[in-house]
Amino acid sequence: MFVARSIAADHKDLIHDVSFDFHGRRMATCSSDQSVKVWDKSESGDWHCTASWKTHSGSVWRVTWAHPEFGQVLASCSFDRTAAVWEEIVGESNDKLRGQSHWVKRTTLVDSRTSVTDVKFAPKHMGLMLATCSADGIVRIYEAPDVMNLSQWSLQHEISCKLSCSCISWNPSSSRAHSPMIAVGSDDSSPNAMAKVQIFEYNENTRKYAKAETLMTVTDPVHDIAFAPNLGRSFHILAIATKDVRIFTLKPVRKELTSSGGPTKFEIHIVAQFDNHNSQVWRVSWNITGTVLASSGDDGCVRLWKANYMDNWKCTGILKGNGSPVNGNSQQGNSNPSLGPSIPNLQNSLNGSSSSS
Amino acid sequence: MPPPPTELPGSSGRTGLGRAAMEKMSRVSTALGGGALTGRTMHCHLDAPANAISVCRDAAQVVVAGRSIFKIYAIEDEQFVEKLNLRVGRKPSLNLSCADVVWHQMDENLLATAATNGVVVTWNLGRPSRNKQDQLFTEHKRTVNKVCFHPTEAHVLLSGSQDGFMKCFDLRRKDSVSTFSEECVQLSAASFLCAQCPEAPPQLCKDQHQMRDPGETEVHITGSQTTRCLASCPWPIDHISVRPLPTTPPGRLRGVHATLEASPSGPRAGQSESVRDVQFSIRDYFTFASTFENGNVQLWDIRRPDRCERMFTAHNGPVFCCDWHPEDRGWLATGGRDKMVKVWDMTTHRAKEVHCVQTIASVARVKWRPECRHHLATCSMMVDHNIYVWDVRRPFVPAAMFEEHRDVTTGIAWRHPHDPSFLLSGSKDSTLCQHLFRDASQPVERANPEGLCYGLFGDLAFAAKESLVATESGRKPYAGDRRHPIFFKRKLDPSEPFVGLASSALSVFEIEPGSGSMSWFVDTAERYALAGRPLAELCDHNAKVARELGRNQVAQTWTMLRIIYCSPGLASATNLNHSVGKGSSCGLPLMNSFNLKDMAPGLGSETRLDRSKGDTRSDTVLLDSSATLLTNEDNEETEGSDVPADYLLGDVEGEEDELYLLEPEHAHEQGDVQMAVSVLIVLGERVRKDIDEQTQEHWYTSYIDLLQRFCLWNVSNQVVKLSTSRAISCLNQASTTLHVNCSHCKRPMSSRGWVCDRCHRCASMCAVCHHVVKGLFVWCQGCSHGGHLQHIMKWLEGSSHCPAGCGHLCEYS
Repeated sequence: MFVARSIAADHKDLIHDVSFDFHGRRMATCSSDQSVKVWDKSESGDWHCTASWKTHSGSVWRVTWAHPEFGQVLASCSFDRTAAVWEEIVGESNDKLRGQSHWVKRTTLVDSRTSVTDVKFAPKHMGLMLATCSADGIVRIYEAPDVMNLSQWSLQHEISCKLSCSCISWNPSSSRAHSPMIAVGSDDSSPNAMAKVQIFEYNENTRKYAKAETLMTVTDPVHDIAFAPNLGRSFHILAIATKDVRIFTLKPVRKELTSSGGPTKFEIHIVAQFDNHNSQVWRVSWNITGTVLASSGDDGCVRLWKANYMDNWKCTGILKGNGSPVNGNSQQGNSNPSLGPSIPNLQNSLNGSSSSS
Repeated sequence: MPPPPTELPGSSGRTGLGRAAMEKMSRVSTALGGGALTGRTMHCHLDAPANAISVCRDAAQVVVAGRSIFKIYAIEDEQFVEKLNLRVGRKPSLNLSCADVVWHQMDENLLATAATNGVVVTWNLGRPSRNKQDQLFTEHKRTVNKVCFHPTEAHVLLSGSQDGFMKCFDLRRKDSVSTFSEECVQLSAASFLCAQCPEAPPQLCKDQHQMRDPGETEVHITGSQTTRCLASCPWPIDHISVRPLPTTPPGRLRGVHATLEASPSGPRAGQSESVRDVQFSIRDYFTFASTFENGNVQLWDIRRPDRCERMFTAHNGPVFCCDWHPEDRGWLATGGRDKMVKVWDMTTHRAKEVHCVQTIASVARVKWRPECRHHLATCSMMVDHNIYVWDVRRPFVPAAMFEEHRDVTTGIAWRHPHDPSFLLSGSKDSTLCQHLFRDASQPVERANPEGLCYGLFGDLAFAAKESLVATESGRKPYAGDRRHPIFFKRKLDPSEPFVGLASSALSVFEIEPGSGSMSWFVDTAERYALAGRPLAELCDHNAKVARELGRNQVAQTWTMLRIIYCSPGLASATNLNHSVGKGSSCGLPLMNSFNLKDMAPGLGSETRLDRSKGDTRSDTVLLDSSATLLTNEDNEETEGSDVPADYLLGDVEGEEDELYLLEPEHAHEQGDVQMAVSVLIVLGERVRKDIDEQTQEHWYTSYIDLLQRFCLWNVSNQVVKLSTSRAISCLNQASTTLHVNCSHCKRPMSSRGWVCDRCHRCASMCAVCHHVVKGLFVWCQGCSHGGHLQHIMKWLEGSSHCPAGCGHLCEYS
């Protein structure tokens, strides 16, 4: 099913993050070599590097796209204790003729005194906002009050998490019933068994973020965290990359039943936990409909997970980092009985949401 | 003129001895390195911020110096113990305000400090009195930034000052032996010819310029645009200064280019670039390096104060520090405000940059790590309080990091020249620390080696550390399936230092069309009919679309909806469904297809759905649904809907509704918001009231967001238009204003509607059919006549003249 297309990234050190834009036609990579590269997909499906520039004076941990409504905007965060917002400049120039685009720094967010480990733009309906988290355990939420002026960002909230933060995820739900919510993971590796995932929710009354939940069962360092795209669901699905892959559902308990004004209470269930990577899991990423989860670990594989109608999550595919499928991904029309039984639902599940209704 | 001195002042005839001593010293320290140092990571509080530290050669004592501190601490296994306070005397003297301190590496009793007032002080710990101060040199005019003992010569001390001069002292004499300055540099190397024309013979310039008295004055020559080398080279000479020194043969001065205007001036103190660091070479007896605020690094022979051996620009901005490699002869590390540490190979003719490390803040100190050929430690003078140890072969990620200090680290020193595990540091936070290398945090360990992102169409971008990808395939070779050759298996060279560890492989897994991409979504969105036809037709159409795309469950759902809402005769069937849902056994196929995708344990699923619905939805709505629906359907009927009235049996209908409600709830819980929204629009008023406004809005916004991701703007707009939720329908009206002028009187249309206020005629008439255009109106921008898109297109096939008969040759793009 999958065709691997390897790309000569030409980064001088590790690549720490890859990010697709809203429409899936552009890709940004960031690396310890302090640079960010932007890749555009050509008509033929090839990825071409259209920009590469030095963004920070330390390892760049994360890069993320803003909603295109705000322009072609990237945010990056780095070991050098800063996060930065970049905008692509449109205009005819020599760069353009060479197929290169030009990105300018719009702002540097310098509030952190330690490495900034993650940066994420808030869902579009909240306006132009972004959250950063840093190794000193502080989540900062910035807002650009004027979306036309990307160089002005004001620090709106500082949330102390007590633990060194490694990753954040906004709840993407656009429902008015769901307050803005942000999940924070910690990679604190000190021996104390503190819960490593905290969820903060915006309280309209106090106009502050307050802790809504702590996932007490997650006590190992967390490397990545991701809310599934919501698509009208009433509850939230949260994937966590720690020493294994875990998937939680968070069902809001009806407001009337809880005391009004306080944070929403959630009914939290762990619906899946997989240690198939046999090692640290570094990344989790949801497909666009929130039905398939991809995870990658120290075993160098990407594994795909999907739930059946019974909410039973199963592995539906394994992809090797070098592009070769490990098993299961038999080519179309090429029946392979030996692989068939091992992953019975493969065909179905890789067909993704086509069978869901 | 006397010949240039060939030996160090004060070491006449002992050059060979000096070298022997150097070798002896290194042997001694090697032996000492064999004896294990013990200790732990620890710190002690100082009374005042430290500016510099230095370690005694016995590795058991450390001296800390600052503006108001000058103490010696003994390094014990568990703690630092204060041994001696060198700040004695009643009144605080500026001479004691130390900018730098250095402990002689041969003589345990000998220390030197650099004071902020320009004084260089030496200290003799062997003095019997409390005051250990030995000598005082007051030759510098400004802060002395650095002092440095000769590694083997006991009496030779070098200082570098803010005033731009470096002075070499012989501790047995009262004043400096020689002075070095960045001036008089450019002249010397090229021997009075500009550097760009080395082939021009010196005599070309003969007699063009005469020094008045070469032995006495300093001549400063500044070039200008007209100043060119006579040897017909094109380069202007921008800055040359000549300071005739006794060692310079007077005749050579004539070589200065003729057009230069020579102006004698006095000593140029304060105008030359400040010296930030001076360091004796460890291997070359006579050589020392100096760094300057203008970014230059110079190499001097201590016997030749008239000119430096070599100069190059090492950094952009001040060079704060330098350090000679303890083993590699000729490797010099420099650190600057440009946040870089550069390693230079000085053995070649031109200094060659062999490594460049990018740190996150300006580099204040750099120290090679003993016994680790490629490691060096750095600290910064602002912002960053940490100490980093870098492997210069991996210039972007520090190998280790010490995070103990709460303020700027001002001094770092490896405790023993042959022990790589103990690092001492002093800081502005008034602490002295000993760091054990094994306690350091390693940023590499925490650095994420992988990146993963799901793309819009189901493709995956994956970047992984090459060692993860490569070793795995090496350990577990792919089981010989020839259909999947490993195209991208990189051979890793084990001799490379960071083989596979500092590079990533990036690949995009692209999903093959039709096999699992999101094309079904796009096709469905584009082909579904949501309005404009009777309900039954809409359902049939959509069922057909779904079936053609191979989505049979969805197709059956549409069929089912049609049956429930449109077919009068099927009340019994739904009744049957209802009974099934309520608990009788019998897996009715219709029922199966309706609710469940895979239908293994039919009833179990049904109850599960029931429960989930109960969890997420208000029960009250469900209870009321029967009543509300009845009124709904009544409305439908009066509106002339094609729903037959007589199929509605209140009793059944409630269940139908419930069944239906299960459907979208189920659909959207499965992530198929498309189905939920489509059904919502198609069924319209029949179900709208039963789903609370917020939920509907949520579905709409989610679906619109998805449509926009796929650039399905038309569908998105149609959904916005068809939605009844006010929050949604205003989406495509926000911040879009259309200004319309009347096509007859050319005045702005002020009121809404089709009639112009002024000329009282319909503004948007079709020029072909003479009816008012509702919908797509196209017009010529030249004559402003136009009409229905289809009509105009048809008209233009036959004629290019305006259909209104105005004679204009219309142009449409």
